[in-house]
Amino acid sequence: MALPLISIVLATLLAGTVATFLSGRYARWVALAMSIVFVAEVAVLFLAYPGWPGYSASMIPGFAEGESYSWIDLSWMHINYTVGVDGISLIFVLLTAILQIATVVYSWAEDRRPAAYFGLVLLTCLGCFGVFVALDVLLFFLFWEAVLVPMFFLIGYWGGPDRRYAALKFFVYTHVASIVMLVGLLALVFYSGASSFDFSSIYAAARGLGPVTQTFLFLALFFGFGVKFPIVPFHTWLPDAHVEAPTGGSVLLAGLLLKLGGYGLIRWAVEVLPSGLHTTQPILFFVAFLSIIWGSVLSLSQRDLKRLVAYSSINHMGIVLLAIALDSSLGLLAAVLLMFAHGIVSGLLFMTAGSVHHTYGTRDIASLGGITPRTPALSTMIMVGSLASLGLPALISFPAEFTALLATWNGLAYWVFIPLGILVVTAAFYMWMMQRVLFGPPKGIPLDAAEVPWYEGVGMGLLVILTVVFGVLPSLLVNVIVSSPVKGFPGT
Amino acid sequence: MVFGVLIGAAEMLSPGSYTNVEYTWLHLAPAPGPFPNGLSLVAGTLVDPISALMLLVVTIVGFAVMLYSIEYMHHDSGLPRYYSELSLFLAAMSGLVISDNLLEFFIFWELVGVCSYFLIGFYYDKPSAASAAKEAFIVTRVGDVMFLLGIFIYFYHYALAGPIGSGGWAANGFVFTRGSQPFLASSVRGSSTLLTVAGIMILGGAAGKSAQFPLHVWLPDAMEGPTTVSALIHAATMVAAGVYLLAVASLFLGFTSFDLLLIVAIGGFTAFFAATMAVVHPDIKRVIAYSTISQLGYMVLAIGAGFAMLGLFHLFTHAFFKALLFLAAGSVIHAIGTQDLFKMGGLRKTMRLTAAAFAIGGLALAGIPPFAGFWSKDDILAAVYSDLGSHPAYWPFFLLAYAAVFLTAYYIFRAWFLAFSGEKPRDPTLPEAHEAPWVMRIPMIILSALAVGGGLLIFWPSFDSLLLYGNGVGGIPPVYGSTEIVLSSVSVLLAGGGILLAWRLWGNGRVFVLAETAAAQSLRRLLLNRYYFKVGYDWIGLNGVYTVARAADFFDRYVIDGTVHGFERTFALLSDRLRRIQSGFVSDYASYVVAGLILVFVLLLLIAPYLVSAWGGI
Repeated sequence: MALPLISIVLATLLAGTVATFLSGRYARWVALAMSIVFVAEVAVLFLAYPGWPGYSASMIPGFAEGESYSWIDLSWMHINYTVGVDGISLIFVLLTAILQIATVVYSWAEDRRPAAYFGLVLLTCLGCFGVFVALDVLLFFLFWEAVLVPMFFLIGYWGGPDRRYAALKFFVYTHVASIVMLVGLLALVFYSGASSFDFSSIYAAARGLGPVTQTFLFLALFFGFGVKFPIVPFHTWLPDAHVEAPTGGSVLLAGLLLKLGGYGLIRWAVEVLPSGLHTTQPILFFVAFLSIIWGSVLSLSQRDLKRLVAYSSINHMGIVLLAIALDSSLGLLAAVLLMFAHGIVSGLLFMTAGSVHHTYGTRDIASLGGITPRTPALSTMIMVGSLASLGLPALISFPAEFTALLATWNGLAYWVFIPLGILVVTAAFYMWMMQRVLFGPPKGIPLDAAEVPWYEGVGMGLLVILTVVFGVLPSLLVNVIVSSPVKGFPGT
Repeated sequence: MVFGVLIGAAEMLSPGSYTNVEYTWLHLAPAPGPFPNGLSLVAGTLVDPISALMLLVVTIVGFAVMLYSIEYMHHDSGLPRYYSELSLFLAAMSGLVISDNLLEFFIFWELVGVCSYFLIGFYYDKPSAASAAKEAFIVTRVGDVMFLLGIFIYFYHYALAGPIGSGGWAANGFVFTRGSQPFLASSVRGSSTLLTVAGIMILGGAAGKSAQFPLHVWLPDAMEGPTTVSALIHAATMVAAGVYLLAVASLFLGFTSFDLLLIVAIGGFTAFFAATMAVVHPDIKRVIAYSTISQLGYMVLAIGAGFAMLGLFHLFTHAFFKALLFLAAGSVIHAIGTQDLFKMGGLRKTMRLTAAAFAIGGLALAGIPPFAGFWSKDDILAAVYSDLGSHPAYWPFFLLAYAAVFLTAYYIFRAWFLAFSGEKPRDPTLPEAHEAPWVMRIPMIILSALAVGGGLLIFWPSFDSLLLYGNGVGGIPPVYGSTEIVLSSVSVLLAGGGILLAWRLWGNGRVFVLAETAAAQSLRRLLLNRYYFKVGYDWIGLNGVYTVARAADFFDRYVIDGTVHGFERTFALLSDRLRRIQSGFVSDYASYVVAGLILVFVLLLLIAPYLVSAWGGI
């Protein structure tokens, strides 16, 4: 391997973040430039991706673009800087790059401390990228925590009227979960007797763990990652955080931060602790069904556009959890695909909610109505986002939901009625929202309301285009995902 | 458009099936697990007799509606949106009929649904239109969800041993087999309960799209869209998709006998049920809408009884006369600006062509020979009758369908007499009526020709070969023997009776006033309120689901978050108390230390004996 590609990406992201923080009123230009560089680097990463390298000698999954340097080397503990990607992480890396550039463009006119704002946005994305490529427990945890801090400040400084409460709630919830997760990961290392903190050695050592140990470890990790999902009943931080966060923060929160939980669960729990997953399956199913039902039903009663999308996120991430818990190759494929889809679509929906707020001064569904004649483009994007989110074919979520439900039928037979039936409720709340907000006689529209500014349009337009492209050609994503060392996937 | 007609014609001349698989959506290579042969989801095209038949319908009716729209819609705003949505609608429907597998079928199925959502809600600033669009989408969504489950069941059932030779459905996508026999009929494997459920699910999907009982409520409300859209939805696109699905499923998958009975029951019942609602309605478009539901019932009945091709033939003829009726009604609405039959009257004098077109459509709908509807509807009734011997359970539904013939003739001619006969409009404030311009007349003329002659096509061998579908899988049309002639005569007499009754009650400007008895009035109210189905569904939606949602929201805010805040307060209180302990005086700390020590000793003294005995010494 010629170049340490991942380290180069990390280094440029770090340099970009620092440069953005320092660049004062030119911050947005620097951030945009760095985002373009990031997209280009991800493209290189994709082109250089040789396909999954397969299993190494001792049936340990290998990773492409792997790098490993000794970091903290004690006689009883070896901590390395180890990074690498497989198909699953690549998908999330792609999502990170897309959402970063979309967020930067969308927030173009941010004028309250722009340097800090764009710097924090970039820092969040840096942390997410790190989480997706880290293959060492300590490195993983460092990046994991590195995401929380900038998001805390984004909500706490640029947020709405109740931002302090929301930021604190977000931080406490996710931090408590992080600690449980860290304890789980450390226990995994020490109980399994792994020779180092590296993923591969943990993976190999964990095979020797008994089912009971695996179950307890799995539960700890599940709680740690699950709060990020978020799973019911540990979900109430999410609507508050979304409602108060600035639009860019909401996009990153829904698009990336929720995915950290799903990615972590797949990478560090499902792959490593198969017996643990097996014994906890009923719990996971229960929680997943609860989240699916709860998220969808609550969306129906929301009055705030952002809260509505937030609860629908709980519903979608419930389907993701269900797909993961199925413990089948099709389920994992569906989970990754659905997380990508949800990242794009919820990002789009939060942007539209933000634009509605900027244009009409409120996000309250009941006090809006008939906005279509005034802002046809915005209405179209709301419609595309909603239809995508409710699973319309030819838009990105459909292939993901379809495979998830197919896998559910395969694994759980008639239980599939729960997520299927809830699809009707999901359709109902989006349709009802559109009926009230977009259609009917105009209501609550200020006289100076005009079409959204170009930068918001470009940010949303990018996501709309991707929604359609990946909806029509899902094989672009699928072929990457299936080249991963996840069981049942044949690799390349 | 022309292209579609060409494909249809080509298929007619050289029967067979052409397939062309183009694009793989998702592919998992063979691996141990549930899909040892791999998994592929594909998209491709396939043209065979039934898709050719449907392509003809979609393209001809689509062309007529497009042409008509040029004049009918020209003073509306948002025309680019209208035409692009209309084109997408037609494209989705064409894609649906040439899909070569069940998944692709479902994709286009949903696109058809969303296009009808857009078009029903075309006048989105009208609250009723926005509401109707939403209703259409959600109600059909219920059917779609069932359809999806049906796909899953079939898929897994045939994943490995599917209709395709090597590898089964999973390895080849959900590709339809085009054999001479339905797949299921030749190989019922595994649990047939499962397949019965799958069949019910497919029926549910079709009932949602084709507005069959009990998912029929959305179709009359879909009248909120422009009349041209109604013509398209009712004739060639949306509702046709459901019937087409049933036909495809019965031709390529097959149904279990319980499913078939259920399909017959739904079809026969809906044919009658919808006709009763049309009898009293004052809105010209809604009368036609109920007639659509009723006619779709006949098609479903035919497919359930095992005569899928006859069902499709009725779909074919129905598309022309139903589009014609809508365009004629649109012409009336265009001219006088109201849809209320009780305001109209005497229009035949000013709108000769429209009156004639509506009459032709009505005669075809009522099933008077030689109009198109007669051939297809009577074929269905005769075919079902021929099946009664082996399936006596079909009797009640056959009789209902027969009774509906009378009602159909009555309600459609009630509409005709109310609108066109008599001396002058009942409401004198209406504007002076005028005949539609030529752009609107041409489509009506084309469709009139087809409504007259469409049924006679069965005497053309090339067309007939389409209906036979190779070896007659779709049920061989009955030969006209003496029984059939008696049956036909009875149904023509029934239809004639219906027309006569309509004339007696409403002809020549007469107005029939229903007796003021309580029973008659309450029956009328029941029918006008559509058996309270819509009210009931709204009630479930609002008072059922929405109330639950509000309650859940309350729970979320006050119970779950309340618990969290409870923890928060407890900790705040606790830390506050603990803070006070730290007074800063050494004497206080000394006394805490002493107290702590005493506590430890006491605990040790109490617990130590147990520990010693338990562990056998420390």
